[in-house]
Amino acid sequence: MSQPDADQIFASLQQFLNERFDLDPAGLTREATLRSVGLDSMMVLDVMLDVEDRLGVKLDDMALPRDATLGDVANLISRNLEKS
Amino acid sequence: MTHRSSDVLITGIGILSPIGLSVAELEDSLLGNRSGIGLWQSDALSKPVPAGQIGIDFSGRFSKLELPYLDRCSQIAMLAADQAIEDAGFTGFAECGQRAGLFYGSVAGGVKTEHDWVKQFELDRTRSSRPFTIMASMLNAAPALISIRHKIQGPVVTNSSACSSSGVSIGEGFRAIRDGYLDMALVGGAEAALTPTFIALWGGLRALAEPCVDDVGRSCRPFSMDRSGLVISEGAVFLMLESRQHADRRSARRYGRISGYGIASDAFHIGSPDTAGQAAALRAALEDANLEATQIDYYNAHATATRGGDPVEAAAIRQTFAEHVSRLPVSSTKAIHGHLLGAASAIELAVCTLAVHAGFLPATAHLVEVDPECALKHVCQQPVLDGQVTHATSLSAGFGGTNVALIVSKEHDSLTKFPSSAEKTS
Repeated sequence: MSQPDADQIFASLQQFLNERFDLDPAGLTREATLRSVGLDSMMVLDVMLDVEDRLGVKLDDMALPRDATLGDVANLISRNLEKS
Repeated sequence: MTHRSSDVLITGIGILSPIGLSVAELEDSLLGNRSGIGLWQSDALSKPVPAGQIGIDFSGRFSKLELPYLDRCSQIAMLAADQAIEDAGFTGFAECGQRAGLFYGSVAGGVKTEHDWVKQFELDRTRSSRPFTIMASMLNAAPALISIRHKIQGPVVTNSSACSSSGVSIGEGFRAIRDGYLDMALVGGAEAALTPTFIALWGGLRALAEPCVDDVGRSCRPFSMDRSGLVISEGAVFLMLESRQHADRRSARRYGRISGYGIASDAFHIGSPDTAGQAAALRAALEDANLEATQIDYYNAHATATRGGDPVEAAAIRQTFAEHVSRLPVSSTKAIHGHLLGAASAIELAVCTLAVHAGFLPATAHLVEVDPECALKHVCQQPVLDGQVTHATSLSAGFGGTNVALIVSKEHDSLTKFPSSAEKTS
């Protein structure tokens, strides 16, 4: 099975954050910071754990820049999938 | 001699309990003797137990971003705190800086979250918890979340001394204001420990009441010949305390004044109460309030309806109040609200506050035949509606031997929130 591309990963992330935290998809842009949409570091960690479960992969690289954006999170997932 | 900079006024009350979701509902239940005790059942237990339940799922009151951190204990604590602050008509803790504090008591905190995690670990073989679990289960989760929500930046203190937990918190908050360290404090406690594992812990002690066959609402019978044990309840209660100067500056209405706090340890046995320690706490509170025993008009007892505990407290009352004991009205309102554990002192101080304010003597419901070992001037079955109460005291005694006595007194001021009974009838 081919790996999802960057757009598919971001769309999945948007959908997941909407379902999980009732966040408005309109505000979930690549440029939006985690802080601006109300996600703290522990919630992001929990999202990552769910991504691991859903995709059946282990995310070894969990490094995000300071004041990370949703685009950074999508890129992190892409990076890990490429390595797996 | 202690430096006393201020009277300490009660300017707001918030309550979520089996007998009321507001201070008005609490008063109605006390006046109407409405029991909040019903059967509580779990598939994991062999039989149902009587318990004081609120019976409402509050999770819809919080966003999905908040909920991962919120055990039910924190949910009800936050809502009761919101209510107390709103009742006090106060906004703006942030402007108080370190002059506002929060003093909180609980026995089990986020015990449901913790036990659910243990179940996942042991049965599901899950080896890593969700990131929030440790914060949702910790004892000081609720006060932390309340301080964040309301920007309370002074001392945020959690105390756990079993069934006197919130009593210590109220007392220490009272002292901090009276002695000039704070202008205001939110004080109280919360408990939401109706989980099979926690109930089974109490079952191991053989201290839980049997359900009353005729009416489960009558299962808790303090001081009664046929009492069979305590009834565990859930609930959260907070009081807003303010210095008189602070309350005057914002023309705050007030329910009453905390006038005395006594704390004493039994230093006797971890699970058995002792008359000497309880009497010492009561004497300390009277001394703190500069009151004679004869000046107390109502005593709200800790009395949990256990065979061993009630006579010990009755002896402490007789020892402390001496000849006044024949005139001192005593009741245990646990008969209708059960034992709120970490919030027990707080609800019982709220009861005393209403007794002082509205001028009535709450009853020990269902008390028909008094155990001779518990002989006192009991307010049996029905409240006394025309009681004049200037000073009321409440005692709480916790496992481990920490005893707390608090005294609430009438606030003689034109801003008094409720008229006295005499004023009502005039």
